[in-house]
Amino acid sequence: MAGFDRPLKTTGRFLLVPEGGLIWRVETPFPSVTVITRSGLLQKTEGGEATRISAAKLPLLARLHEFLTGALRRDMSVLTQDFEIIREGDAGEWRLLLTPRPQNDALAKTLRAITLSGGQFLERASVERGNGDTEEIRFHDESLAKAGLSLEDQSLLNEARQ
Amino acid sequence: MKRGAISWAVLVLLAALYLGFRVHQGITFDTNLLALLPQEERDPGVERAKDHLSRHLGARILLLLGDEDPARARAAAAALAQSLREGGLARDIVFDLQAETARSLAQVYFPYRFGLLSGRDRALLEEGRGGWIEERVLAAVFGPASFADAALLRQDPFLLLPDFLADLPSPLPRLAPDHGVLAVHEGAKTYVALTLTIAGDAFALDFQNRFIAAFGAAESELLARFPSLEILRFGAIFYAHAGAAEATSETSLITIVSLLGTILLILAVFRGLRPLLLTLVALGVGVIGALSASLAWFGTLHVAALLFGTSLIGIALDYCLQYLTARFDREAATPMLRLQRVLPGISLGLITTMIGYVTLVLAPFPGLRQVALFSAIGLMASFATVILWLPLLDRGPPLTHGGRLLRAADWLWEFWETPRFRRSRLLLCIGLALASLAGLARFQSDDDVHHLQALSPDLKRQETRLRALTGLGAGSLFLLVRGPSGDAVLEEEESLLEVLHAAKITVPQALARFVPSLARQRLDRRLIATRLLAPYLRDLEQRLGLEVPPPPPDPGFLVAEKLRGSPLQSSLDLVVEEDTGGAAHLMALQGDADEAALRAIVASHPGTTLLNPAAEVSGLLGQYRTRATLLVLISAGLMAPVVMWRYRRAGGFRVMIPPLLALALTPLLAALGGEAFTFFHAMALVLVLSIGFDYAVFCRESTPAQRAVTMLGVWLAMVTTLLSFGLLALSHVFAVHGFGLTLLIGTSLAFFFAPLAGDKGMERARMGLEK
Repeated sequence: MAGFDRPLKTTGRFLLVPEGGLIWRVETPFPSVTVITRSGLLQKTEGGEATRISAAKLPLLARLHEFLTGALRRDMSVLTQDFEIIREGDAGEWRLLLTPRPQNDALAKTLRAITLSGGQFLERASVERGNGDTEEIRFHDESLAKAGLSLEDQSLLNEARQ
Repeated sequence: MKRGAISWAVLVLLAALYLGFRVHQGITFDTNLLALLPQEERDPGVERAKDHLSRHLGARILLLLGDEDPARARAAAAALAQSLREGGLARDIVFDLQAETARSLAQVYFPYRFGLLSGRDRALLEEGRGGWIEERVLAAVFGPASFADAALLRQDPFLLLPDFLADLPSPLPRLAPDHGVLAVHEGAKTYVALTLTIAGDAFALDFQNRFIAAFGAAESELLARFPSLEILRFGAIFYAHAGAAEATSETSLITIVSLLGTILLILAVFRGLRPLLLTLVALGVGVIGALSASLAWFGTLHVAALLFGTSLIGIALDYCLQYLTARFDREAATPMLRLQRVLPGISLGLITTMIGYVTLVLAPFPGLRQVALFSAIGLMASFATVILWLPLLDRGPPLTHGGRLLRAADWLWEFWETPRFRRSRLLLCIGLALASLAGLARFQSDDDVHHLQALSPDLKRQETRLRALTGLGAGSLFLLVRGPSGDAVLEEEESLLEVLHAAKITVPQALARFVPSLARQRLDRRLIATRLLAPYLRDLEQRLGLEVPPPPPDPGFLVAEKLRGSPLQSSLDLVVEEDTGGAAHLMALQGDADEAALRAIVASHPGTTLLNPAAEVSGLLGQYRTRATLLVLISAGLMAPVVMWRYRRAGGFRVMIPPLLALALTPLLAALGGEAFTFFHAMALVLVLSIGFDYAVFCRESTPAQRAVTMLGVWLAMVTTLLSFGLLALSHVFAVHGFGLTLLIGTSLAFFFAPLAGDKGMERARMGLEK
């Protein structure tokens, strides 16, 4: 990211719940948990300070939620509404280049491009922001779980949906 | 006689000329209901605020255009905005965020970011928990979907401005910017918002008609282009127009029926056109006289006074018909003889009615005074026309037809005096007494203005839907906050906001929420500098790996004027006035706030006034209702000596029986159906009392030989009154209905009991009973 002395590096875990939402836990350098649901975003620090951004105030959040759940269902139509998509590779090793369609003004201003690549799971995501910053996300040790949610995760999702 | 008629003609001509002159100048009738309140009770500052309210906040219109295709909804909004702009009947037409809101919110507040705090950040800093804010920033920067980049963090390292902006109230909280417009999605549909302010008075009929016509044209054009479009609307002008349209269409139907009925009746009874024309002349002169005298005296006239006054003049029909039916009297061969026969009765009728009307002047209410003068003058003018012109215009011989009519009219008298109806009379009286007792048990009064006007159910449905979709919370409750300066008012607003928040009353619109007072801005600056920047900035810089430049030079304080040209410009409409003499702001409260709690809060905040336009009209109606009821009783008391003087004590008492019975029983019988008693019922009672005295006096003055002719006159008067007023009971406008129903019942009762006032008739009846 431009302007910072060094790249901002974070590590953590994430959990994507079908029809539920995304729970994104940052462990280092600063622990926090972010929950994105249909109703918006909830971000909590360990101290307990919570920030909420409702999807009504920021429709992009609702779209983000739709992208995520669409991706889980392998439903690309959600993405093609707003992005031009270029595919490369095969099922074993694929790459997707997403560029926002110009008619979605708000999205085009926020994002320049997203590159996703992986095999069975998504392995890398590279997000190029409108201001030139880039985010690189690497995913390790991904797994599918059929088991129910932990109590903690369930209560986080509930809290975020309020 | 002739000289009198000619002088009267000259006077009427002068009045007509004056009226013509005034009409040529353009008469505007006062329509502001609050103008009917006693002058001394009004506070000019509050009046200005109410005026401001109706011209600005009350003139707003909110539209939602919904379609399954968001692009179509946006295109429709653009097309509607375009045609409304071309129409020139509205201003501040906003739907397009990019064009209308060139300067974004963030740009307005950005320079002042080191002196603005959201409520929760202020609380955190006051509690010394600035560290929480730092943690929040770190979580945001290191979390996903972060909007914070280095450029923003350098300018606003603790991301205080985004928090302040998120804390700003939104009048339509569920709407969000989407493709350059404000929109909300529900189900498969996207609704695009369009707001505008009408460029005229929502309650002025002329503007109302022009606006609704233009809007309707634009709407149908739009629906032709976008057939699947759903249009939801909310604004006072739509309700006002729907109410007026309903009242007008209904009234015109009722008017046609009653006019046709009256014309046919008079034609059928007299078998000639002349009596009809003479009736019109008498009433017309009454209205001309009343209008010109009232305009000359008051300068202007309230539309409510005009309506009631015209109804009260209608009683002159009684005199006219008494004179006209005298033609059925074969012994009264010449016009002069006829006049002599009816003159005592109609003179006395005039006197008692005048007492009834003039008593209304006693009230300190400008509206009732106007009604009193208007109707008293009109009544005298009609009376003068009857006695001065009618004998000259109607020289025909006595009418020979109508034998059956006369016998029929006489039947009521028979009913009251022949012994064979004794049992029916008794049963009827017991029945009436029981019905009245039942009515008494259900009797109640109601002044709530919401009940007096039937709000269009379709508009109500649209409003409910629109409120649910947009989250629009503001209702018709406002606080007026006054102080020596704009800043003092903002400080007062801040203290009120805290109290209101504690009382769980939300405030969708208050200027202080957009522009903190100087005291608060100073406090926030100090809190940010000493409790956030000083202790935590170094640490934050290190943890982010980012160097934050020192804050910019002092930008001064944020003032309300800075909102001009921004998306928040409309919140400046909350400022009623602000000059060297002082300032006044309005705060819009949620519509369903607890009024008792509000009144307690207002009582402990001097300089604050609760404005509830609907409640004020209700209060006004309540005051007018009690006054009118009281005055009816007083005038009944004042009429007593007049009839006592003419008929002695016993006769006077008897004459008073029919009007007093009608007066007492009418409200009770009207209450039988569960209907509440309102000001409009009370006003109709003024008429019922006068009508009751008229009929009773006519009967009392009549000799046995004239009895049938008199009764025919009374019968005609009753039927025409029922046709012109009684039919109003069918109206869906509750006020009109109440007025009509009271007259329907009251006139019928007055007619039914009228023979009881008769002199010889009653004596004979008694003799008959004794036998």
